[in-house]
Amino acid sequence: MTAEQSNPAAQPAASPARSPLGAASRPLLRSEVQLSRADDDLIAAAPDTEYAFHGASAAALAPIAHQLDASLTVEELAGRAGVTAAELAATLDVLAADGLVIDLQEAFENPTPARFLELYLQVCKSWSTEFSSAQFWSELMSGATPPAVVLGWGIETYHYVESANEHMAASVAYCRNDTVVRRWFAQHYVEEHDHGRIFLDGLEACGLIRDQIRAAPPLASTRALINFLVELATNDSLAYAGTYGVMRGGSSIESKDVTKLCDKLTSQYGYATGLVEAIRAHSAEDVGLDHNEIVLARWLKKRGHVSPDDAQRILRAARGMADHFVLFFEGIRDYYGTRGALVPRRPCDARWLTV
Amino acid sequence: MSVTAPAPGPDLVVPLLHWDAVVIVADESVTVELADSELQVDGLPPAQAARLLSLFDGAQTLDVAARAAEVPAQAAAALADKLVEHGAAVRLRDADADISTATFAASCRTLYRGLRERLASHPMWAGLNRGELPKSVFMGWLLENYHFIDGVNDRLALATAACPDMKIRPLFAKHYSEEWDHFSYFMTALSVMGMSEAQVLATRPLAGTRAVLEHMRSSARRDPLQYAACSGFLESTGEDRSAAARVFERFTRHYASDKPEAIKALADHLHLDGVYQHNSVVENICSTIERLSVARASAALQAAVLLVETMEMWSSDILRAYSGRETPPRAGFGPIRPR
Repeated sequence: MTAEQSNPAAQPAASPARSPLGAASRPLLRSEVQLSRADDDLIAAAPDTEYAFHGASAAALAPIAHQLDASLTVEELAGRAGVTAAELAATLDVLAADGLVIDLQEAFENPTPARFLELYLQVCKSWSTEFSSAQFWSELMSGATPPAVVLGWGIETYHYVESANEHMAASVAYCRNDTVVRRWFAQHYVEEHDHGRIFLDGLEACGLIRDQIRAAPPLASTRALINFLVELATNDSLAYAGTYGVMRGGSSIESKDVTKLCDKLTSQYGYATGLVEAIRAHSAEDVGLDHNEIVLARWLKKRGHVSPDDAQRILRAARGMADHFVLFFEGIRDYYGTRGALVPRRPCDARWLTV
Repeated sequence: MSVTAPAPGPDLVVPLLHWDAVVIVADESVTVELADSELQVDGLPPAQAARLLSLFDGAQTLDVAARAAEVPAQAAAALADKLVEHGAAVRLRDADADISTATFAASCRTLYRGLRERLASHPMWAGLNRGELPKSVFMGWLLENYHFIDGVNDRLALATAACPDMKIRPLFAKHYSEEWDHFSYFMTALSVMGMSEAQVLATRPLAGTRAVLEHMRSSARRDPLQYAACSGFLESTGEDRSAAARVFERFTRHYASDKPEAIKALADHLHLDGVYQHNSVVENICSTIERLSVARASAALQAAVLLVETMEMWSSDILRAYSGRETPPRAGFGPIRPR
């Protein structure tokens, strides 16, 4: 055996209908797995277990460890690693068997909508761990986050929720080839259009001034997230629909999880109770409206097929959404965690030039 | 963004703290920090002083702000006077006045200077200049700049197409026609550094790179003046030729001593921009505008400031994504941060 597992009992759930990796497979290493070298070994650390690759398998994996991003086939990767495709496939299959490597090739081979959605939700869940495991969250849950960051998070979340009136409105206006899908987008938008108010109310209850929150320029990272969604909504309705799997973390939102989170935040950040109640109220509204069933799922079922180009656009959009959420949380820490950060931020005002 | 302040009568004082002022609240004192000075707030409990300063937002009169912060009117007036005297705040009397376009253009020029210094002090720029960052960051910077420069087709082409003003559109069109193929300088540099064209084209730009372009697209859709204010900042970064030459000399020494032709391609690009005189974009566009409202000017200034904030985020993104990465080019669906 070329790989050892530190905790064989703790195996993540593998995909039910998995075939062994082959030369044509496109391996994607799950975001939860960290690769590192230890002397001549290569260590793959997953949340619950660790895999140590020795000898030839470590030598095969090391040169291509950072290219397990589904852009290359096993055969192409094997060429770069100087081994045969069969050898590399066997090595990677140790991780694939435990669901830590996903073969995305199938997504580009005209899968059924149901199978594509299965793969899509699997990668969305994996990619969403990149921002759900961000330092922002661990600090927040430990109770160590300073008030400026907690309230800043609330303000940026307000901007993001309020931006439904940009990207969701655009998703309706630019969906011009399918009236049924447009109706789905429209229904979702109408249900979300005034949810910014929930966060405004919450932040006002924390002592902030409503008009100042409205006038505050979003952080560059928040604006980037909004602009990303606006651009997709304007240029590619299917890709835009593909972002929602990442927003939902690849699975439906459990209301009991939100309750647990909010209870903890209230106990740690008493001054932000208004904001926490806004999160609770917003989540309750979304669950009540059944937003967990994303438009993409309905759309693909209605179309009955997923072409390679569809798959590429949807997965790229989902990947981009994860990237922008990483920036969103980094941006909040970077700005509001700086000494003297303004909460809310102050807009530029050209009246300075008139006096 | 819109300025929502009421138009106060001449006898009403509406203080407006500068948007750049940083308010530091400590246990026993409050300090207002400006770009080149700082000001201690005395005689008020820190929490009340901080609250009062937060209300100097150009929307509340002095009386309203004092009452809301539970500060005596006289003490609030004294603080406002002190801020105005030190250039940290202004008293607004005529909020609806237009601004002369010459004033706006000159203000942009002043604003850009401070913003350039701020951007240059970012750890990525400082680290590259000193040669303290790994070569992977330099290569990442070069690659992301290729995507950014090629992105003129995303931003300036849209600014031209979306421009409703027939006096401004030809200026954008001319600028575009002079810039559309400048990606070739960066492709040359990357090629000299060992990346093939196919490799470059297969890469996926960072979210931060896209963010800069998409901010400019957003500005272009909102108002040509917003786009011009952003473009003006970008063009101003090459204003100081000798400073730019020193940066290129350092890049050559630290990262391309065996391949100086790579950096020469970047210097050639900068030289061409200078020949075209793109640095006067704000002045050129302002010369076509007759009346400029406060709200429009504010939004344009905000767009420029947000561009620089986005470029700071972009610099952090490059630093975080390419530090320690074994193979810089990002393709496929890999994570934004190295594992």
